[in-house]
Amino acid sequence: MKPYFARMLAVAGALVAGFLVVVMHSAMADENPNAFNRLMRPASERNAPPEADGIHDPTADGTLMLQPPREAFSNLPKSRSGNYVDWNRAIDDMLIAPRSDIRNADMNAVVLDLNIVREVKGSMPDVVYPHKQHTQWLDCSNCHPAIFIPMKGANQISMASILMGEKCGVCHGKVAFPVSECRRCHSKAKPVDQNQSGS
Amino acid sequence: MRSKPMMLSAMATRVALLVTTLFFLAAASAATASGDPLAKRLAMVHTLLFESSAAKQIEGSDTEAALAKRREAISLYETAAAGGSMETRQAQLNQAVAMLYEAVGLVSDGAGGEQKARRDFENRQSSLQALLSAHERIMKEKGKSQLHTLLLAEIEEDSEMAEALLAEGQFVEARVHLDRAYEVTMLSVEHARTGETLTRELKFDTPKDEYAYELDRNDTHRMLVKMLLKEKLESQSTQNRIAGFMEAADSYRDMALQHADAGDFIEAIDALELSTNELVKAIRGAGVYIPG
Amino acid sequence: MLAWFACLTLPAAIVWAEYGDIIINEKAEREGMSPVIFPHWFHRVRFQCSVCHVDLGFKTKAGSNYITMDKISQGQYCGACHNGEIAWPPETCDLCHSGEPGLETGIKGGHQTSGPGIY
Repeated sequence: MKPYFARMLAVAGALVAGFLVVVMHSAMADENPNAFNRLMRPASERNAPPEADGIHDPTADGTLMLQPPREAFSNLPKSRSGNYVDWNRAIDDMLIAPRSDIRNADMNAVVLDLNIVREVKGSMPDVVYPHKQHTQWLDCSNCHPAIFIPMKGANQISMASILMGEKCGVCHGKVAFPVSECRRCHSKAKPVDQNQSGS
Repeated sequence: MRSKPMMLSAMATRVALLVTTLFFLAAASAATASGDPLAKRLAMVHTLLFESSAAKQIEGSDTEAALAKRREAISLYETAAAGGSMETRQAQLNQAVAMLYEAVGLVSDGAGGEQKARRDFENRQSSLQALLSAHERIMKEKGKSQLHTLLLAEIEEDSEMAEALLAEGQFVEARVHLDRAYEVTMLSVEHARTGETLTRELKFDTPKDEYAYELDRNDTHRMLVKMLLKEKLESQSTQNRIAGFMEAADSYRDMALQHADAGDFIEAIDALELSTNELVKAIRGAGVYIPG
Repeated sequence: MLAWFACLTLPAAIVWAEYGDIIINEKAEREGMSPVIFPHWFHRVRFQCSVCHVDLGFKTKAGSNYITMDKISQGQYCGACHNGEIAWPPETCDLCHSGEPGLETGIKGGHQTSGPGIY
């Protein structure tokens, strides 16, 4: 009967955690009425444990043995969306060290420190694409040449195509940070005079 | 700030509710816990042994060793299903599953392993070609350094070796050489480009190119209206507020399409810019700021 | 308060899947197993994307990798790690086959970009 006791404990634990979150949430709301952003998921809904996430079967023993994301993320730097984890800072701060080789933990992937700036029309800030952060996760062959041809001027990229799941949208908006985080890519502001005359 | 007694009484109410919830959930959980605690696992292993594609593959073969292994797995499963201590039964089930995998390994055609190895090889090869062409452009731009020339010779040697081995059907060895060529190319590119910033300027060769860009930009903003205002558009007042902008955006876009049909791309670009401006106004009008 | 109570007692009604969760169910349910849920987050803590999406040859499009237990048992796809050495072995069916019945193959967890991915 051990697994059932464990399950009860897990359910009770989840309830207590939910309770604490609700209490903390309402306490915070009491202090700062402007803190709430209705477009953002409340903290209590984020990183739900498998048995409460709506896709795992809560009656399966396996489900209860899986690690809840909230537990895994507890010491990782936060972000505003996606997994609510700043994965790049987690690497930079050496809180995680994802392997580049299945078996060899000491193998280091080649990191390319090369920025590509793409100018865009209007007062929308230009896009900066940092190879560095990408090659901390990916190999050249993940993107070249299937998604991007490594040649200046060879790639037509638009937000429309990204939202359709092409180009950057192969990962961003699915697994990598969401496309609603506009300023993480559109990060290079334009000179002020152009800003004023721009549409 | 709320007073302390009020906070306490709110806490008490929450605790009371929590206890009630816990009680109901405990009752529900106890109800589902009746019956054989291994029932689900037994059912899964049964599926694997009798209904899975692996089971059918073994059944359909005439490899006696595989058929015997499956029979052995089935008898282990039956022993586990009959009863015994939890630990023994779990171990028996694990062994049954492992045996079925062994059995399917005996009849499998390599699970398409060769096909996948070939596909992976070709993917890596096309990446190598892409990196090599980038490498060539860098050498043209910066002038051939001695190091790069040396590396290129090494890359070509490995790359040719990989091709030759592949032709002989030696996937694993071919892949080793291909990977080495790839890694050296990657290091050479990294060495040449590290610390740089390349800018892709916004300039167009022809008005037609700029028209294509503007059309894309207009499509993008239409999608942004849907994405950014998804929840807000549920309200009738927001819909009314942005309706005028959307109509104007549509009519400017129609104008642009007509100009483009007539071959007047300069006028078409202007009309599209006006249309996109209306879309920006719609988004801002609904309370979401985006740059224009 | 009532809303809070309601949301605790009816958790299954709302899908709160973790960002990047993949449901794999092209074959599973047809063959009598629960769908598989692959959590990207758990794996990216430990491995770079390229380990699976280059070295193991997983295509970056949900549903485009035809993964079978046969392939797994021979060390392909998930079986490269899920072999009892690096991660749990395929004998523990229900740790992976833990999805709610009826789920369709695809990405969950509040994704914003749709469409093709790459082959």
